[in-house]
Amino acid sequence: MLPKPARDRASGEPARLAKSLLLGLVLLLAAARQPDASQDLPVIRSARSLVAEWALVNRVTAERRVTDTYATVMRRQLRRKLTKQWRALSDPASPAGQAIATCLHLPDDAASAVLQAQSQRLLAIEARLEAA
Amino acid sequence: MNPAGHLKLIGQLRDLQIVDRDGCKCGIVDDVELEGEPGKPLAVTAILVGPGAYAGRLPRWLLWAAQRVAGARVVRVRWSEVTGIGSTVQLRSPARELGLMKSEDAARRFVPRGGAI
Amino acid sequence: MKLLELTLGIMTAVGGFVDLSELVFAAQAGSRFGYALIWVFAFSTIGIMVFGEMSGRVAAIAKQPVFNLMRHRLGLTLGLITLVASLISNLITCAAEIGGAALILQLLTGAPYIVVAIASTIVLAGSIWILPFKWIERTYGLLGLFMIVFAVALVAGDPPWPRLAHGLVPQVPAGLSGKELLAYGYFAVAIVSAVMFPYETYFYSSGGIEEKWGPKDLAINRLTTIVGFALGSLLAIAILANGANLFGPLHVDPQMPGTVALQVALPLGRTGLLLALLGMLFAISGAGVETCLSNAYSLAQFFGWEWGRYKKPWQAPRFTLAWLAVFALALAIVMTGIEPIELVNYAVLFSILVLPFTYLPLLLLAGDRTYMGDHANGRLSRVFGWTYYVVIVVAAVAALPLFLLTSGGQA
Repeated sequence: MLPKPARDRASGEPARLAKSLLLGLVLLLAAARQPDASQDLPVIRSARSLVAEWALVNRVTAERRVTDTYATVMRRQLRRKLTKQWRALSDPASPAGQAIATCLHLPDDAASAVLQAQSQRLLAIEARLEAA
Repeated sequence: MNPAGHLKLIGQLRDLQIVDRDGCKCGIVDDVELEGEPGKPLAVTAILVGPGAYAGRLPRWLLWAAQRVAGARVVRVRWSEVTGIGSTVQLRSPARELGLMKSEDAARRFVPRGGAI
Repeated sequence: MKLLELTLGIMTAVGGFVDLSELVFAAQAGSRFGYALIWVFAFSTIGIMVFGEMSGRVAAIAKQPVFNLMRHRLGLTLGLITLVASLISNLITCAAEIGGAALILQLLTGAPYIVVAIASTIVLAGSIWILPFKWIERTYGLLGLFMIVFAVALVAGDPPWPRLAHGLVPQVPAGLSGKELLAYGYFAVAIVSAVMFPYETYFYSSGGIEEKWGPKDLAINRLTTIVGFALGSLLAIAILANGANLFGPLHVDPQMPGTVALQVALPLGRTGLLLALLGMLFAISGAGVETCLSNAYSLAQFFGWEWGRYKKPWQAPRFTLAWLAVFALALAIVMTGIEPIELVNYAVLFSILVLPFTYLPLLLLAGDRTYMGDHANGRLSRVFGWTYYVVIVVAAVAALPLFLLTSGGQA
């Protein structure tokens, strides 16, 4: 009677190393949870950029540096993403939420300067949260 | 490398690509079958091809998952069919005569012919 | 003939260098950290040159693609885990590229997202079905050369060249807060991952076997990987530098691929915008094809099936069904509505975790005289290979904690 084939020994050491790495990563994962207060920071950072991108799109559209199709599609995509960020805030009535809501009430072709001002407002909120 | 000589089974044989007489790729050496007794020289009698040969090589949970996906078929290719071992294992006969390529032939039914340059 | 072959090879490598992840991370790296991450692009490019050259050399001499070595060297268990991890990583990347291509097509045509996503998947699948391997590689690579418009835009934008050049010096910017340092670290790891994506070596080595490379092709292999990747990385660095020069002052950290095209529209107007969008479309589509085929290559090579586009699709049916299935699954992921930029983040994370297991067998085999004879790794390849391997392991260990601590670079 032939002995059963032995377990695949070629992968023994690397497999043990892989298991240790995986365990270490899981422990780090558990330790990496952020405190609640700064959970809005990534959302606000993203929203600030989206508003700034919107302002830029409107500026280059006014300067006739982009096609109408590009401008229309970008504005639609930006608005959709901005709405998603607003909904992701822990408190949509916060100052950041109000700034985003102000933008969402503007028409697609709002003046670039108006949008830039809201982006600056979000930037200031972002800076306060980062300093905290 | 000469199949009649001494081999390092894991380093030089197992997990190598198998190529048949006509140059067709027809599987991997999933395991080897040995003959012998404790205290006596071992000889390789066959190479085993197919997910059924994974038993003993994988942890139980991974074996279960692998065989749920791929089944437990194993094809036994007699050692006398092996003509050479290098970066691949070369066989004497066409793959289909040895029972290999069954799932390749089954898959072919789903692939239309035509349209390719 | 050889010179034409070499030129086309280099041009293909240039046009094929940038994909959605490099586009996004380069633009964001520039707008957030100025020119301070240029050195990471340069450093990672040397890494992909080293491993790319090795994988091409192994294809030419040992006539074995990467995934055959993977199983042989790592054994079945670890090989299977690596296979599954890289299938998932490539699938996510493929979905990101298809989604990204759909977004660009939407910007060009105004058609609905789902329609262009389905249409581009069908076109990509059709191109793999109809065209032989060399034409697939050349078409997307050469059309990707439209990306050169980003370099033109950089020159037209008159950036501060001394500061740009200083970005090549390894550095950590002064005055960063703790959170910003972590974000800088995350971007550095993400750039290493994006530049050294494993699918690039799987595709390149399988391509070498598809084209039946031999010892006479070693010079072409070396020149293609060195010159081609170096020039390709200049395009990625141009996107980063444009980000620093144009987007940074406006506080724009591109949250959408379409925004990156504004880097060209600003200095060059509508014509520039169209060229940029076309370049992005072909570069991203090419990456979609490469990631899809890489998965099919990996699966077929791991299990010993017939594989390759040098065979007609019905001559390698399991391989054909594999790449069709990858496209179908990638399209399904796109149809869930998940943002391609989000997918890119996961793709980059997964890939860096897989990298140490991908490159170790390659490094070992390329140095093994039994298979490589006189063409085994010389001292330079050994030193660079092992140095970069250590870097990859460190990046792989740091990737997940950095991703979590910085919410994917956004915190």
